[in-house]
Amino acid sequence: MSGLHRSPFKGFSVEFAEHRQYGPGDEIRHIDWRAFGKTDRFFVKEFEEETNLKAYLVVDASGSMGYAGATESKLEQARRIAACLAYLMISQRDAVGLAAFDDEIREMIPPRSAPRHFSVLCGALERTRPGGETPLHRVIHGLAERIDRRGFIVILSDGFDRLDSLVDSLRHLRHRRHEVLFLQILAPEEEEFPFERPARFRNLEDSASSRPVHPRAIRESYLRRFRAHRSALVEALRGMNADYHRVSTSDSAEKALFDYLASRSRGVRPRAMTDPEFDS
Amino acid sequence: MSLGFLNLSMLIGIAGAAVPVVIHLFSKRREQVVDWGAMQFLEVEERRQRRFRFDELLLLALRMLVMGLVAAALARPFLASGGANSQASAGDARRDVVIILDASASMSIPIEGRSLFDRSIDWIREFSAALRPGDSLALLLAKDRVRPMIDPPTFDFGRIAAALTDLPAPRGGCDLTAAIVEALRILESTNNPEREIIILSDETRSAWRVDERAKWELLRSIRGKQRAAPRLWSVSPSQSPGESPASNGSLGPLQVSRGVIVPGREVRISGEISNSGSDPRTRSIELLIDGEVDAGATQVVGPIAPGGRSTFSAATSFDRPGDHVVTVRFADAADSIPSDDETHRVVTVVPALEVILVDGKPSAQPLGGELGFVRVALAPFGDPTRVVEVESVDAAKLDSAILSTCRVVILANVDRLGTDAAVALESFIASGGGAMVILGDRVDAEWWNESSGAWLPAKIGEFVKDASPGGVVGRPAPSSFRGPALEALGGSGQSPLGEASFASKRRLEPMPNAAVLARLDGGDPWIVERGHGRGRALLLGSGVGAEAGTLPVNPDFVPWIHRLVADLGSLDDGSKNLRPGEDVRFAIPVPPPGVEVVDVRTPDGRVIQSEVVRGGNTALVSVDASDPGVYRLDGQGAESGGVRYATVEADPRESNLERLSAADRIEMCKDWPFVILDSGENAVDRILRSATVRKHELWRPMILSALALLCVEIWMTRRATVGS
Repeated sequence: MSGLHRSPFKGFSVEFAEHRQYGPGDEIRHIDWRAFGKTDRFFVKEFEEETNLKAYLVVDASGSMGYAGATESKLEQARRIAACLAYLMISQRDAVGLAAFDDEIREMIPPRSAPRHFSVLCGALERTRPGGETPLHRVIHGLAERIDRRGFIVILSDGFDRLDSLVDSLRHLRHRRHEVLFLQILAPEEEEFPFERPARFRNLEDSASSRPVHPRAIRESYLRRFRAHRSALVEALRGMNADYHRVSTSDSAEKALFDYLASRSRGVRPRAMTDPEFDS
Repeated sequence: MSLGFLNLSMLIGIAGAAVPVVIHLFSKRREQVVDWGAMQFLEVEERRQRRFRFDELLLLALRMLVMGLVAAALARPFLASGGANSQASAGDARRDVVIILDASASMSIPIEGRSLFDRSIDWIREFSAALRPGDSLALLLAKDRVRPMIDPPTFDFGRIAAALTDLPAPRGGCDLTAAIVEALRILESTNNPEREIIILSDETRSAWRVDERAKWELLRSIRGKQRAAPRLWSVSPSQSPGESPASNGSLGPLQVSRGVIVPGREVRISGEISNSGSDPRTRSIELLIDGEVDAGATQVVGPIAPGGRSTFSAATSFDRPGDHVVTVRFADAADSIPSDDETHRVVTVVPALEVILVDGKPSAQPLGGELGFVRVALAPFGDPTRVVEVESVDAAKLDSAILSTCRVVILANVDRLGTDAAVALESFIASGGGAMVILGDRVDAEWWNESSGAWLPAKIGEFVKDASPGGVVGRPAPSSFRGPALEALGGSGQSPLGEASFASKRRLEPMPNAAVLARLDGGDPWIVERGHGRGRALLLGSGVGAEAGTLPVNPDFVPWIHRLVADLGSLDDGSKNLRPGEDVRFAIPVPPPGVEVVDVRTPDGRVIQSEVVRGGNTALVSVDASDPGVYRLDGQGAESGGVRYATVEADPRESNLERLSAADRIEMCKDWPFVILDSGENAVDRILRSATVRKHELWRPMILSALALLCVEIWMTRRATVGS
């Protein structure tokens, strides 16, 4: 019952924090009678509350996460990182839950900190398959409504959604006072668009939809749109004091996590926001 | 104005315009598919998308247009305008020209100091100098055979100039219609839009073959089927074509009295003299043997009336075997056409004619048996000058070795031959030997019909005999005699052979490809001839022995048998005395390895190298004999000093200098663009300014358009791939 994370909420618990002069509304049982005996004044004792972190891993399993290119798929990378995070947090006796969605929320596992809960999470991650169209903002809205107690929401997604709707949904989460970490999983091909020959691009979220594309003709336009979308997403997250980290499928999961944790412990801005690409 | 194509077949290339479409469809089928998540960033505005599709279709159309334009340009399109025979400028159209130069003997007639032939050469030089770059020119010499001097047409007129300096002198006859056919063939494969055939001739009627209407219809038909039919021009390079020369005599082909000539025996040479000039003429002729004048044979013939003929005859003899050339020529001053003032014939002299006699009913008595009289008639005892050497062989001993020693074999009343002998006899005939089969009572008709069907001239029928004393089953009918051997002994008048009678005979049923040379008075075939391979066979329906009838005692029996045997064994198979237009072929011993060509001297004195074609036992040398006269091949065989001769007769029509009449000209020019220009003056300008239609070729602007479109295509492709 004693997590390693310091709770931001002060209350009455076992770890003494400070004395405070008694006031109306304070419960009489919290009065420190020993201090009254010494000072003849009423003080109440305040304790630092040590609570378990309730984290939710939100894994985007929409069709676009199935894109693999020359590396593992984005969903595979998301599952690995989610499993690693779950392991770390459960090891720290933090409660970890899981929400996997495509068209709708497929798996919703409430947070637990029991060690065996890790295998439950892994099982759920293994069952996750890519498919369906991404209503990312709607799912996040739904999560914001369903998770009562504030917690740490880790979103593993490529973020391919209408930007304003996505930002609204993330604000909704923040409004519910959840701490938000957005891990944007991207494939190198999506970031660089290295295609040369004309090809037909088939929508992973709707196999009936495709379009002929001459890569050379639209590369510039694509990269401009792509970077603008990411830049706006990062700016929006920073504006709502949420955390962002970009993960490439070409990186290993541990490297991605190490990079993130290192940047977090340094207290610097997310790497992506200092990425020189954003300046272009 | 109408559109035409010079290379119509190249229009097939327009199908190449479908290649870009096929590639487009093929690449669409093999289009790479990328499963993609970030579709929202691929979205381009609809206007841009429409433009992209439009550019794609435009590129496709451009590529099809480029392919189509190139194919159409290769088909050499032209825009034709103007009417037929317009004398307007021919525009920028190039022309292909075939010049036919009459190189017959009559072109050597001088007019005002220069022959028509030389004037024609000057005219060709003038014409070729007036041609423009891109025009092409071919040159044909019209003789008895067409001799191409420049073929295919050349764009290098320097070659024409070089060829004109090396032309042989005009000789022999000429067939201009054959030359026009050749010119039409040449123009079938040329590409320029304007095409001309120009004939330079002296307008002698014989050269144009005016009376051979079928040939002229054929010419019109061939021209009518051509894609770009040429115009025809006949140009006389002299301003005044001239009248018929006052003096021209010609010598016709020579005849030799003997088929087999042996050394020392007199031979009579005869021939015909014609006077095609306008005045009576007495001519002196001389005889030459192998180029040496036989002084004793010179004679005077005439006077010969204008257009008349006379004959001459001279006796000579030869002292050694081998080929000899006999020449008869005018000894007096040359006339208008010198080349027909001499005539030649090659005779082959043999030591003797070897004959094998096979008697099926031999007798030890003199003049007995079936061939007793024949033997004495052919080779009289004690005659040192006899021309025939005979040898009697038993039928059972006849084989290929024996047959190889003779030229003629006579089989009389032979019942049948052994298998080997029958095969050897068939092979002997096929290789050029002569066989005479005389039938009698012993002949096994069934065997002969079955085993000798390949060469036997007639199917042997029943044996008919009148056993009564003095019985007659038939007599020769001299009026039915045919062929060079018998014609002289026959005829409609009285002939001693008609008095001969036969006591027996065999009925003959001639084969389809056999000729009946003589019949009996009842109409039954008596002597039937059939060729087999290079040899011949004669079949006689009656015997020639004393028992068979009275033929052996007939006054004409000796010349009769001599003529038949000489004809069968004749060495003159026509290969050495050729008619105009025939090829000279010398059969020579196979030369040593490495000898691929031999020198042949032609009638005009040139020495040409002819290829040796090796066969099994002999080699063949072929010579293009477009000139009449003597062709001589040295160093072949031991006889006559190793010299081989062949002669080609001059075309007697060439001596007839009759000009084209007005009616002839109308007939020749009827129904097709054939123009006869009487004068060479202004002819060059008139021909070059003429154009059936004014033609403007379009291939240049089309190629330039294709190049421009190609540049646009490259720019659009680059714009589409690199991106705007």
